[in-house]
Parts: sequence; C-alpha cells; structure tokens
Amino acid sequence: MATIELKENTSELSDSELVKESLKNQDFFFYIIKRYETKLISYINRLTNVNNDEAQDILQDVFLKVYLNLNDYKDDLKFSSWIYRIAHNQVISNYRKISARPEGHSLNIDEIATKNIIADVNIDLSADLTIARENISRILSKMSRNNREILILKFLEEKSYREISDIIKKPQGTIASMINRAKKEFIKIANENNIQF
Amino acid sequence: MRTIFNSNNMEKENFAQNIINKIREDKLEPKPRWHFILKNYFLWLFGLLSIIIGSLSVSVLMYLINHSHITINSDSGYLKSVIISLPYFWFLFFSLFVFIVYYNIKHLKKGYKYSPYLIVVASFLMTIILGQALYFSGVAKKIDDVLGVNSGLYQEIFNPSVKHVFNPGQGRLVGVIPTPHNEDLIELVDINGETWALIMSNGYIYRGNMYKQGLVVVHGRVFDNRSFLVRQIRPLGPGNKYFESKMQNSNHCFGPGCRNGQIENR
Repeated sequence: MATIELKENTSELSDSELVKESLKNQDFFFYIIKRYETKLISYINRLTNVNNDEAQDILQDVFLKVYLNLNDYKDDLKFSSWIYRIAHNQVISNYRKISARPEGHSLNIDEIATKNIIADVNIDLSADLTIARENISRILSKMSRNNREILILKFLEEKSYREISDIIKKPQGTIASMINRAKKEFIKIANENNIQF
Repeated sequence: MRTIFNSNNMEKENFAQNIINKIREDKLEPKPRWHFILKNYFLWLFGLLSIIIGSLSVSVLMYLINHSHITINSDSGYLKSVIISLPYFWFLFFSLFVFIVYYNIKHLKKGYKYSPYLIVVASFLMTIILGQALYFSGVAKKIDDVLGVNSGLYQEIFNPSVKHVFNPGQGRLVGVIPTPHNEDLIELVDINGETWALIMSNGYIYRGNMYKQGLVVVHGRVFDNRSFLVRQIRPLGPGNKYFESKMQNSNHCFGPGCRNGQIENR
C-alpha cells in the first residue's frame, strides 16, 4: 500500500484549506488526522476509561465519520469544534459499552489545567501541585458524565464557551449554567471525600 | 517532500496511514454535498409544513370555540358545558405540531444556539399568528365542512360538541326554518324531522336571515311538547355539513334522542 509522503507546506494550510484539499485528493486527509489525533485521543481517554486499543478504535471511527461527512463542514464553524463534536457523539454512542470509570484513573491533567480548575472553583491551594492534580483527577472520576465532560472541555481542553456550545450543541447560556452545576458537584464531591487542596 | 523516521511519529503515521488505507480498501468517499443540502431543505420543508398544519389546527380550534353553542343557555352549568364541548383532539393536535416545530428548529444547523424556551415560544407564536390569519380567511370552516361530510369520526373526535348541541331539555334546537307562509307561524324542522312551533320572546335575537341560514341553532326553552320559546337564533356553524349530510342520507332520525334510528318518546 502506498504511503503518504509528507508535504512540508501542509502545516501552513488552515483546517478549512485542508478540508478542501482532502475533498479533491483523499491523501490530504492524512494531514487532518495527524493534526488532530493526539488531541482527540487525549480527549477520548479523559472522557472514558477504555484501554488504548479501544480508544484507538473509537478514534478511528471518529476520523472515518469525519471523512464521510467532510462535505457537511462549513467554515462558519471552527473545524476543531466540528471534529470535537463528532468525537463527542462517537463517545456517547459507545458509552453503553464503556463501564463505570474506576477510581484513580489518570486524566492526564497538566499544571496549567490544575491551576485553572483550582482558581475557578475557588479552592485554596495549600498542598503540592502534584497532589492537587491527583485529587482533581480523583474528583473528576467520581463526577457524573455530563458534568465531568463540561469541566474537561473547559479546563483540560481549554475550550471557550462558544466552542463548547458548538461541540455539545447547546446554547451558550446553557453552557454557563452547566459549568456552574459541574463546579458545585466538584466541590460537593471534594467535601464528601475530605479531599484537601 | 520528506519522510519522517522518528519512531513515535512512525507510530502515529501508521495510525493515520491505516485510516487512509481503510478509506482506500473500503472505497469510502465523502457523502456528496447534495446529500446535506437535501437534508437541510427537507428539515426546513418539514418545519414549514408543521407550522402550516399546526396553524390549521389553531384555526379550527378558534372556529369551534368561537361558534360553540353548548355554553349558551346551559342549565347544566358553565364549567360542565365547557368541559364537554372543548375540542380536545385539536388541542392535542396543535400541541403535537408545536412540539414538532420545536424539534425541527432544534435540529437545524444553528438551532442549538437558541434557548429551548425561546424556540417553544417562537413555535407557539408562529402557529397562533398564522392560525388566526387562516381562521379569518375561512379555511377553518372549509376543513370542518370536509371532515363533517367525509369523516366517520367527526362527532367522536373532530367535533364532539355535535353530540350535545341538539338538546331541547337544555334549551337548544337544531334544524332548518323553512320560509313560512304565515309570518305569525314560524316553524323549525329539527334534525330528527320533528316540527316545532317557534314563539319569539320579547327580546329575542337573531343573526342574519333565519330563513336562508341552512341549519340554525335556536336557543330558548321548551314551551310545551312541540313549541319552543325563542331567545336567540344563530347559524349552526361547526357541524353544519355533518348534519346536512346525515339529514340527506337518512330518513331516520339521528343524534341525541334516537335509538335504532327511531325517535325515543319524549
């Protein structure tokens, strides 16, 4: 099977331009996959507890759906929001096959995300940042799926309200309410489990 | 052009390559643009149809409620009269189509950006406003006439008030008033073929020309066995064609007071 030879100037192409090129020549879809696979596998792993093979299967399904629906993409919407939306829908459709998240499963939270969550949820950081990251991961593991996802999108994926609105297809006003609700659940779980920061 | 040999990147490129290979093996192609355009047009068309159908149900609702005779001069109590005469089917039908319009708008490309409450209110208002316009255009009467003639479920579902409109005990007669030979003797032939002498009370009200209205509803009270003291005469309105077609097709009586096609003793 012929492999794709990388073109150096594809990194300069915008997502919309890559989509247009992919519609003319399927080989260009390779660059869309490369551009998004790391972010999306991380997103899928954060939302679910599946092993690497299963995550790759989900990711493959996502990209195949993206490819089949390329003609549905219009650039009045950010491509990243569009592709995240497909990933979000694919995870939901696989959700029934995914068992409850085991406690302590790592969510791969970086330092910036840790500080953002702590600042936004109004928690005083007294412990070590590493411990704080582990605690945040534990709390997120215990949260309901919808609330967890909204916090993941906001703090770990660092999406704006508008992007989150486009990804999960809800009004921006509703996103604000959902984030508030998720924060309340976060604090409640922290208190119930005596988790200190 | 260059090929990257780094091992991590090789793994990633394998994944990406595998997807491209699968696309080629399975001969996958992006769905054509017309597929999405057609889907979008279908959603808009379906939404528009839903608004129209919802509006038609509003217009029929307005027609049935505005021309209801049951609540007038009812001895059984206003509330009971309202309950038995409400056109529940059309309320449900209207609610269903408001929901369909809402669902449709939510599933348009940018429908998700709008608050659900806003969409429900917008759906509701659109059907109400267009429904009023259709009511004043006379469409509701035509729908009622067509259903009255053609639907076997007219009195059960579409307009249950026709089961109760003819009720001499409650002060309502339904029938036609033939042009009298003598203005002092005005009679009504009711839907069962019985003749009533109409006695006009001092303050009686009539609307229009009572002799040329077709079926009319006479409000008042029974004076004696076959005479009726008239308070008000109004065109029948909803159910007109229903009763007309029944009277034309059958020599037997029908409606309340009948059993096996024969008039029960009063």
